Amino acid sequence: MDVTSQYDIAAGAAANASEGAAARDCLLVLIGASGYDIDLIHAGKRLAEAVHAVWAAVDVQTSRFRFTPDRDRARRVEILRIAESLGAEAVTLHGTTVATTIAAYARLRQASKILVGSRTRLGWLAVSQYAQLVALKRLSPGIEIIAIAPQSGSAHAPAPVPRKTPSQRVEYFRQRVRHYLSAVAVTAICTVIAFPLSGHVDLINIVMIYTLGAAVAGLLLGRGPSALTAVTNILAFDYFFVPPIFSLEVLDPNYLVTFTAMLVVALIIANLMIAVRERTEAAGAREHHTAALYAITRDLAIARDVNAMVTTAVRHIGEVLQAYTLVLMCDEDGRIIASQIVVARDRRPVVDANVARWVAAKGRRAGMGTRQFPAAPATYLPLQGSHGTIGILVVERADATGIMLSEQQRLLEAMADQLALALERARLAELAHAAQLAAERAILRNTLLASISHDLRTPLSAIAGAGSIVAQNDFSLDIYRRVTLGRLIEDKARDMSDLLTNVLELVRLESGTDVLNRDWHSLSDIVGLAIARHESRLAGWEVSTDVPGDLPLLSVDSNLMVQMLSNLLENAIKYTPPGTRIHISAQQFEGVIRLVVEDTGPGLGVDAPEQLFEKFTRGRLESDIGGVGLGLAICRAVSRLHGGEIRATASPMGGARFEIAVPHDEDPSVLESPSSVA
Amino acid sequence: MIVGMHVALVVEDDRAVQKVLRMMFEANGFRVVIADSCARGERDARSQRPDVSIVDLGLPDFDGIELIRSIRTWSPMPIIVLSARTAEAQRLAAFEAGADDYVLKPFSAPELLARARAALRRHVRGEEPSGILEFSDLSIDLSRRVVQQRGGGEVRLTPLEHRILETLARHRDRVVTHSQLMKEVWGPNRADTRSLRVFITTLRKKLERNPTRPTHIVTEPGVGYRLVVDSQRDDVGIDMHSSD
Repeated sequence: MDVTSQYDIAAGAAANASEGAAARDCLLVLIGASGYDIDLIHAGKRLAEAVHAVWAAVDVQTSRFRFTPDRDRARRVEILRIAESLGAEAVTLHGTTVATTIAAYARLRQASKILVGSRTRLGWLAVSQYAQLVALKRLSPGIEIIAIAPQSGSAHAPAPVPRKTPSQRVEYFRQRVRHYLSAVAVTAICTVIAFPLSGHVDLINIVMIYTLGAAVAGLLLGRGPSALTAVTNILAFDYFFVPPIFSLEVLDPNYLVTFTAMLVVALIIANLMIAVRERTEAAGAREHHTAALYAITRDLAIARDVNAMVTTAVRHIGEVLQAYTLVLMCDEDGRIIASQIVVARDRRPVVDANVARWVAAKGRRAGMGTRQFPAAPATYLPLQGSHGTIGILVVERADATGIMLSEQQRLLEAMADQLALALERARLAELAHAAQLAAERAILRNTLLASISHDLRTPLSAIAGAGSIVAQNDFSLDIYRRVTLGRLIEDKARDMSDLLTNVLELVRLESGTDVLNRDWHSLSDIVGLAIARHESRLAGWEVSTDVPGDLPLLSVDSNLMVQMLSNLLENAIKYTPPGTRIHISAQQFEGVIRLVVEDTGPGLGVDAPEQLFEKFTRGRLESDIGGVGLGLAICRAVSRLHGGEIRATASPMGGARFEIAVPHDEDPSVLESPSSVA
Repeated sequence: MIVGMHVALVVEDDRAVQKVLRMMFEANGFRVVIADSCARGERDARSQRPDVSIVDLGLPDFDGIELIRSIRTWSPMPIIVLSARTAEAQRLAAFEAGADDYVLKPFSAPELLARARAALRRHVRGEEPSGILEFSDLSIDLSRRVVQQRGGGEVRLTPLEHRILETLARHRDRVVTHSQLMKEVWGPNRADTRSLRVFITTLRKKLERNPTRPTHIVTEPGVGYRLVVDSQRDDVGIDMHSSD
């Protein structure tokens, strides 16, 4: 019996575990076949602890599993979960009989003990409890089989599962009836095909046609209908073909052998066919399972943020399980953040806040199909991260029963795990990003402090020096020297003040997004204010402007715009000799206002003018010109805040040229034209 | 211009600034009274009858704006704010409380002195505009609504432009806030400053030599406009350098 090919998704995990288990003893607990699995599980746990063994709860699903009622299946899934919560590995195996499958698995895991219930049925062909145990022992040489009796008075309460509704019972009954009718129809068809051949071919070939029919019935119908086909085949063969024809009498006793052989062959074929079909279905289900997992994993890998991840997962789970699904996000303290609910499909599950809170707090599943809040219509699965519950997946089956089969439970859990992993990844990425930002901010702060302390100390030493000279009584200073020193003090103090303004402004601009105080302003007004700010210092320079009065009003923060222009003028004063011409002009180009400040000075003096806009970057490093290199950084911040851009190039006038492009909205309509109001 | 023995009240809590202001005013023929809180400022304003007040906003007991409001309830004397607060909203609040002018710290002494003297002159001359305003090469006859260039040519103003100019002239040399200007020109219930900005631009084009660098219709950023008729600044004491 090839068991390895029949493992569930757990096979991989089991194989991994088997490697690690070489050193440690392994103990298997067979569940699902006795009525007191809980007792078995607890016995297994105690025994495993006593002998320091790893242990696994094994559920073997034979072909009979198809006929297991849904509530029984749900109970077995729950048993596996309980075992898992007690430290066992939960394994689901598929096989022909329980005994052969568990024996093969025990060999694979090199298990030393198998715990079974003393009332366990090990396979449908086995005739007695004792015979089964013997069979299992024979199949598992060297493995200790321990039969556990139910604990007296142990009232095992399986997780309640909603019963089928009457309409579903009727539907199930109808399907069974259809299958049995089909079984009879197969015989009829065989007869219709075979009857015209009667007399032309040997009876042995007629038998073949019926055998073929039995095979088809085995492939398409269940075990019962197949058996029915086997019987009706014999009856039809007897009635229509075996002399005397049209009578059930049999004259030749040889035909009794034929009948027996036909029955046995038909039953065997049917059984084989059913087994083949089940394996095909199981393989199909596994493939579906794998494909679904692959799809969700792939889409989660693409998803960039938490919202996209949750949306992806909810969509996949909803589609695969035909379920209404939503995700509740939890904050770091495990409280549910209602605002982050993501819903897919037309309807969302009804969320019971109490259940959700319980799941968030305990980190365990609850709701339908579990022991906690089993009456809830939906299942709640915690999405576990490394630091507690990240969120809760709420799934409500779209069909009326709401029951989830074990394969679907597994699939759902696997998908939930994938989502949790993805969310955890997103959270870690967020943390890493925050850490990186913090590091960058720290570097910036250090650079800023270093630059500022240098640029504040330099003018301060000049001020202190000049002040001490003026204060010295015996330095009989003439009026000219006194005025020079006074002006020096004033200029240096003003430099410091400008520096402080720039630093504060930059900090404010970078602190948030909501810093613009927009209003409608005319550009000529802004240019005028910027020039007025430097009126006295610009006296030595030749300033000209070309700002047309008919430019549209701009919705800008005038303070910041003035500051930007003022910084550019400041640079012109600092980096060009007196007498240089400074020209400020503005033009309108489709939707954009271009403001240009250029001069006839020595130019930018750098190869990559873009760098000038970086913080703490200065055109001439080794110079006696004061400043920290914040002016242009502010210019760029201001222009970007207004949705524009600033560029530095060489001016056709010979010097530096700064061009600011600011988009402008529709020209605000002036409600009264100058002539319309009396 | 000879000012005589004017009294300047300085409400400022920083010792160094007090000293600088005292020196500046005394060197230019003022008598100086110094108060370091709103309460003392209020008391000294009533007892010493100053001709001009310099008020800092960040005072230990109350905000300087409170003091301005309180003084305005009983005295029209010129009040100049001297503050490090740069935000437009705070400047606007000071002007709306009744301040005549706003000088930013760090300040230039000659400029502050010039502004104090200009405020004094306005106060002495009174608020009522004479019928005819003359500045640079323009003469504006407010009652006849005629603006003439010195050469003899007439500058044509639309009725709204004229109303704006008239409002600014009535408060000449003082800041007229946007809302005040809107209310007086368009009436109440106007909140949009866009048309005001357009009219100011057209007015400047007609009245200023260089509309981009206006010398008469001056913008007080974030607050409003000021019509500067008397732009002399050369009457600063000889031992201070003037801003040239």
